[in-house]
Amino acid sequence: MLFVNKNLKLLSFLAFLLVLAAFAMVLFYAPIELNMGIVQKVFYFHVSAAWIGMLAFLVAAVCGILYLNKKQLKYDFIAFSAVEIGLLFTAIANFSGMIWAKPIWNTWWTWDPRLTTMTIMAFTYIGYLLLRRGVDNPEKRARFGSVYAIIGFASVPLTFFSSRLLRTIHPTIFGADTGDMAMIPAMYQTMAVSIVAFTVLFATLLWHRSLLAARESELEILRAQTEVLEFGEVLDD
Amino acid sequence: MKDWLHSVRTLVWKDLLQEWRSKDMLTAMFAFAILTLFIFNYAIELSPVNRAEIASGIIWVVIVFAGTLGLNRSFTAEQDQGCFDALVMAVPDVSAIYFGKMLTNWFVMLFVSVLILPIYSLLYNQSLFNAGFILVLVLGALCYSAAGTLIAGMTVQTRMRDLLLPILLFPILMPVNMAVVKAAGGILAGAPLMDVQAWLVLLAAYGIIVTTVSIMVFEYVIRE
Amino acid sequence: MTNLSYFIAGYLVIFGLLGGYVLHLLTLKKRLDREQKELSRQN
Repeated sequence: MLFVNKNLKLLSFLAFLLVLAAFAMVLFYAPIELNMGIVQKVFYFHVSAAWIGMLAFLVAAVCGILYLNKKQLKYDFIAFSAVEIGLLFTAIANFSGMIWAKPIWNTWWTWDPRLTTMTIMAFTYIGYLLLRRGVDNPEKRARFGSVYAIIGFASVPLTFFSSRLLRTIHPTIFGADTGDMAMIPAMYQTMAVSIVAFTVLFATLLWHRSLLAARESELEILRAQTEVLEFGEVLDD
Repeated sequence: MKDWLHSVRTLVWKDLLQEWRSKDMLTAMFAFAILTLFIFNYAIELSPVNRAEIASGIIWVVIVFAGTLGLNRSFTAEQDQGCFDALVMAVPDVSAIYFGKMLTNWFVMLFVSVLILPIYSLLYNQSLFNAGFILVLVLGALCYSAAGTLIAGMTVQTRMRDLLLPILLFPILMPVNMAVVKAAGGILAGAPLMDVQAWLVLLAAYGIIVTTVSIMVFEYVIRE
Repeated sequence: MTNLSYFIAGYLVIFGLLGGYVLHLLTLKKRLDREQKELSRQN
C-alpha cells in the first residue's frame, strides 16, 4: 500500500519542528540586512515557497506521465494534491514577494520575469483545478488532468525565457535592482534550513492530501453504489 | 505514411468544406474581429505617433479572440454527434486527427487575418503588408492552433466547454503572445528581421515543443 | 526599523495561508469521516 500512517505522523511532526526551527533562525540567527532592513527576512520563506511552487508542478507532471502509462488512480491523487498545494505555495510566494517589494522597490508589482512566470504558473494551476471540476467521470478527469499538467509544465520554461527576453530588450522597466544581494554564511544557512523545512512540509501535505483524495474517490464510488441500491438502476455517466 | 497524409488531408478538407458551406463560424469570427477593432479604436487613442508599436498588439489580440471562437467550435460536431470513436477508427493513427484539426484551425485563423489586415490598413491608413510582419503572424497562429487544438479537444468534453477554453489556453500561450507582439511590433517600427531573431527562434521552439507533446498525449484526450 | 510592519505582514500572510490550508484539510477530513459513517449506516 502506498500510505503508511505511522510514518506520516512522524513526518508531520518533523515538518512542524523544521518550519518552527527555520522561523526561529529567520528571527534570531539571520542578520538584519543593512540596505533593506528587517523586511529582507521575508525573503527566506518567500524563496522556499517559490521553490515548492515549481517542485509541485514537476511532481504533478511526472505523476501525469505515470498515470497515462500505468492507469493507476493513485498517481492522479498525487498529481491533483501536488497542484492544489502548488497553488497554495505560489500564492504564498507571490503575496510575500509583493509585501517585500513594496518597501524595497516602492511598488507592489513589477514585470520581473520570475514574478510574471510564477503568476502565470498559478493561473495554470487554477486552470487545472477548473478542468477537473468540469469532468464527472473519474478516469477521464485523471486523463485530462494529466495531459494538462504535462503541457502546462512544458510551457513554464518558455514563459520564463520570453519574459526574460522582454526584459533584456526593455531594460528600463526596472533599474539594476534585481533583488540579488550579497549573502553571508548565516544567511545561506537560514536559507538552506528554510528550503529543507518547506520541502519536508510539502511532502507531508502532499501525503495527507493524497490520502484524503483517495478517500474522496472511495466515497464517490460507495455513494454511486448506494444510489444503485436505492433506485435499482445504473446511472451511467 | 501515405495513408496518414491522406487522412489528414481528408479531415482538413471535410472540416473546411463544412465551414465553408455553413459560413456560420467564418461570418461570426469576421464580424467579431471587426467589432473588436472598433472597440480598440475608442478604447485606445491611436495617434499616428504610437500607432506602429500598438498595431501589432491590437491585431494579435483580435486574432487571438477570434481564434478562440473558432477553437471552441473545432470539436463540437464530433462531440455532439458522439462520433469521436468513429473518427479514431477511421484514421491510421490518432495524430492524424490532431494534425487535421490543427491545420484547419490554422487555416481559419489565417483566413481571418487575411480579411482583417487590409481592413486595418484601410481604417488606420497604415499598411501592414510587410513580409516580416506576416511571417510572424503566420508562425504565431501556427503555435496558437498547436496548443489550442489540444486544449479544445479536452474542454469540449467538459461541462463548462467554451467557458473553460480561454482559461486553460491563455496561461499556456503566454510565450507566444509575448513573442508575436514584440517581434511584429519591432518589424512594424522598422527593425530588421535580425533584431527580432530571438523571438522567432522562441516561436519555433514553442511550436516544436507543444506539437511534440501534443502528439504524444493526444490519444488520451480523444480515446474513450 | 521602519519596515518592521512589512516584515510582520509578510509572515502573517505566509503562516495565515499555511494555517488556512491545514484547517481546510482538517475540515475535509471531518466531512469525509461523517459521510463515510452515514453511508455505512445506510448500507
